[in-house]
Amino acid sequence: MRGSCRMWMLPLVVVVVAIVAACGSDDETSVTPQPTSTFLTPIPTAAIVSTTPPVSSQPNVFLWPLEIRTGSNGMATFTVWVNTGLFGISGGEVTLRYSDSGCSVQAFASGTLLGEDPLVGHGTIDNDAGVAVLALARVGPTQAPSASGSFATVTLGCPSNTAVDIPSLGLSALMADHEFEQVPLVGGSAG
Amino acid sequence: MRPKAGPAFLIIAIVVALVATLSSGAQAQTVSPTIYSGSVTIGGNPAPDGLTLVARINDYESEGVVTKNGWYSFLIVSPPTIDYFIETITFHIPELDIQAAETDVFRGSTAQFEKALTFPAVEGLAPGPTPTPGPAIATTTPTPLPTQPVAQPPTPPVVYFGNVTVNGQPAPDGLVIVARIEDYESQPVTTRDGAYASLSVSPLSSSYLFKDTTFHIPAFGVQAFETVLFLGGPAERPLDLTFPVLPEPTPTPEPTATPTPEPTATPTPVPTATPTPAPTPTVTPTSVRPTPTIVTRPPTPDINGDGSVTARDLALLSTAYRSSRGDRNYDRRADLNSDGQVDYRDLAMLGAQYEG
Repeated sequence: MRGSCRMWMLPLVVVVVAIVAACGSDDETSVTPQPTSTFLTPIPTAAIVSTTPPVSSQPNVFLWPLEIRTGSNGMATFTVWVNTGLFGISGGEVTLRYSDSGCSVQAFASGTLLGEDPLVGHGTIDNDAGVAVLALARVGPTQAPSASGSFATVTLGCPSNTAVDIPSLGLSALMADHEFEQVPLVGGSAG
Repeated sequence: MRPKAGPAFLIIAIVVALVATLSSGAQAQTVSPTIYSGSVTIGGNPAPDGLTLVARINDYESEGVVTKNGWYSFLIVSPPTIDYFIETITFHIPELDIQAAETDVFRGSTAQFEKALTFPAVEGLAPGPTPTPGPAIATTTPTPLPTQPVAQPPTPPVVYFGNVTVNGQPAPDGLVIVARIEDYESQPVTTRDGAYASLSVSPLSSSYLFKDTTFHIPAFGVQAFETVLFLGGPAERPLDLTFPVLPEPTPTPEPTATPTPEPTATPTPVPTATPTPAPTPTVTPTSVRPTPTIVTRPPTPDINGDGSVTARDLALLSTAYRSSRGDRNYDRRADLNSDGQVDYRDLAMLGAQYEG
């Protein structure tokens, strides 16, 4: 009798263990990102650090995150972040120089700073010269101040699994305020 | 039953979550347009005007652009999703069912490229004119000039526009300007805000081809320093005109010479003992104001003047982007804040009134 009872409980124990194992593995993926299959990430790039950029009361433009690391396929994505200060940003132009980085720009796309669908007035990627330029404008009027955000998202192609040397990326930016005057940017990216 | 159903639900939930993550990721990734322009040849000859050219990536097809002067402009490749990323772009002329030899890879990046497209020969298709980029350059075939300019259709117009300076200063409003080619004289246009526009040069005969076009202010009998070889149109050309100092017109002894007192802008009394003589009013033709008035006009981003601010205006601004006054691709109309360069601030002004 006892033996048959044990035999009956065995499958139940196995099922419970399986459930616990399943729950455990799920929790684990939420803590540390596991390398996913290529199906789940058709354009795999290094993950952007989820912490938010430092907020400043002064208008400034910088690359974010501070550490850019390529994924196994050599792709790295980062943003050109704009702290608007007290200004309303109606448009701008960003120039990225990367000839010394050993990388090439694969994509230079608009971010969220100027709304969902900003106008693209100019966009060039010259990987021979190592210069990419993107000029965008908000569609419609601009309220001042406007929210800080990413002006653009840059996808770099670099040697695999390396940290991109941020100082080797030259960033210059010009921003227009809600009255289309130049915003006095603070920091090294101005102009 | 429950222990068996639990894992099944878990697996389903995980799959649903993964699919949701994947789809949201795809939506979040924006696809930026790539814009192409360049020459078009069919069977080695320039493409005739009016052919529609499209780009395709698998099942996606771009909006068509029309060939003109052996050239295509502003072909925007902007597929709806990132599924087209790293896929091959092909270029087609659907009405002839031909595909260009050139292809490209769609990288989803905002970029503008000049790309010459060569299509295979099509039997019976007449070649077009010599390729010329954009509307700013006139084209013509150097046909032998007839000796008698009779019974010929007028040549297509060349329309000039640009800034006007007189003696180094912006021209006053109201100056009448005409263009001349030998005995031909264009319809007059009038300066405004230191500029002129829509000066159409369209002589009645091709005998005026390859002759100098000169620009004049008839009221003062002065000619601009610039001359342009007339190559026929249709074309739209930026041309800044510089005139020398205008001669003093002979004052007409009219009794109704405006004796109105000087409208002093600053009515505050000046306590200084030295009375400064009031500037004597120079008699000028009624159509001309003596001093250049710089009018700060509100920005009008309707660059092509069609009454709305659309992608066509954006295309004109993009073409002139990063140019400065004097550059070949500088377009005064796109310089919305009139600071002598077409830049991000002009773009922002256009965006503020963009209608899509």
